[in-house]
Amino acid sequence: MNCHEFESTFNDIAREALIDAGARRDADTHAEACPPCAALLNDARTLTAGLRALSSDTAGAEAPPRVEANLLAAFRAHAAGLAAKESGVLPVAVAPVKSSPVVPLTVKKWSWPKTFGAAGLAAAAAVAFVLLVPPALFGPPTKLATKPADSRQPEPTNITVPPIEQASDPSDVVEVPLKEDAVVAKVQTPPRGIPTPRGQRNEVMRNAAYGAARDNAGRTNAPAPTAEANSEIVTDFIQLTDSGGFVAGEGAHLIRVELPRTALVRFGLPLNAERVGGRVKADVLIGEDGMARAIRFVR
Amino acid sequence: MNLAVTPSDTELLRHMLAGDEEAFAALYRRRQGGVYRFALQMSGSEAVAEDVTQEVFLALMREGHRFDATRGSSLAAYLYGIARNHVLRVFERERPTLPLAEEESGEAPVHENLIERSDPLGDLTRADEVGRLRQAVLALPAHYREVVVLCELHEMSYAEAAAALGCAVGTVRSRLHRARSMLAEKMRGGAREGAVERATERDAAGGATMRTTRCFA
Repeated sequence: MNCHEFESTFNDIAREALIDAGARRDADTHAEACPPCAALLNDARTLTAGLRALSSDTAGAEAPPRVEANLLAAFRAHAAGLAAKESGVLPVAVAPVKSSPVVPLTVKKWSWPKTFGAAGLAAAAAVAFVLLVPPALFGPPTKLATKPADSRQPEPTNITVPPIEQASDPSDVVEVPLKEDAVVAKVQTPPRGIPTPRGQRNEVMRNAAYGAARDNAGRTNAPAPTAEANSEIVTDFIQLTDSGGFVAGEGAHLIRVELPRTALVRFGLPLNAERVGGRVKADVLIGEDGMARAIRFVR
Repeated sequence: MNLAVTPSDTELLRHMLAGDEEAFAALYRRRQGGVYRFALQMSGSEAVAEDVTQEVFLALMREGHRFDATRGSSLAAYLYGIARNHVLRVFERERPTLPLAEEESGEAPVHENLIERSDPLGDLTRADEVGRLRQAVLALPAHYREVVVLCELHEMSYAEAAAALGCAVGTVRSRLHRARSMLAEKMRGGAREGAVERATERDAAGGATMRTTRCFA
């Protein structure tokens, strides 16, 4: 073995790696006869020892517990999204939905013929309801909530989008039936153009929750408040972290959906074993990109 | 989860992809240390290591079905591969204005902030040497550094490292050889500074310094 051949072997010898026994013997013989190569091998062994010391120096390093907590929360949200997708309900925490299937909200898509058509249908339904239901079932008459007078948007019959910061203003209640299994009960948008720094995401969640609560309050002012609306119990919003959270100035929609009752388990909530096959209502906060940002369950 | 006493990574992954949170937690606890240390040793930054660890397991959550155990590579290698991509992405973000010449010279492409400074008060020789070696590793070009981290600090075989890096075994071997030479040179350079001082003192006292030449016999 010459020095050139030795150079291709000495690192493996220094690292105590598995090499051919004959090659090792030749290298040892060469190192004994060649002081520079012996020095090279010695340096390599010193380096190996140093690297092992460096390795043991960081051997105990682990990710802090908050990483696991974040990931478990993300996993629950992800699993719930998958469950929702499988059951054919709205894409809750699922993949990139650029054009959300639940957004007939933009003003551009509004058409007056449809508006009048929907208004006509709603009026006919109301008349039929009044004629068919005995008067005794009605509660005391209350005043209808009205829209803000300065609203520039075309007046919709089934969608109202009051800004959340105008919490004291009255708001309309929205009922927007969708295709398939998804049932959208209420739709709201928080104010646009307001910077929402990363650290204030929870504030957005609270706003959304507040908006929904305000909406429920609006319902109690409606002419015929239902027992269901008054007795709703909601969980806190659970952030769906793998959807990226809110970004500055982002708008959002709050959408009521129905999920399989088993989705409760995926978010760590208790499930009544006798009602496993049923469905549960949930409010999903949808960002402008159509991705679900947070979810809360409603009873 | 109803698994054997020590379920394999693949088994845990399968359960995880079926929505089993316990399996995900078990897989995370088993593999997070290696991923975190890899990112830490590559970047020298705990914050980067934390972010990378989180990204790796988020990616596993979303795209774990892409892992194919039948191809012969381990899940650990798959995770290291994802971690490596994220670390390199961090490097790209951190040094957008680094001069090209510096990059091609094979010297110190690492961002200044990513290099962990040794404690100036630390007077233990071993700690000092380990600190110098850590800096020398962090100063290696990324494609040399990653083989040192995987093969030397994580004691992976050439084949495992090749699977994680997505390159040939021979490439890993040659890069490691080159990287070790660079590290040895750096460490010798550091030691030489001390030796020069001692030799100067010896010369001043009338001693002689012996020089050796390589033989090619």
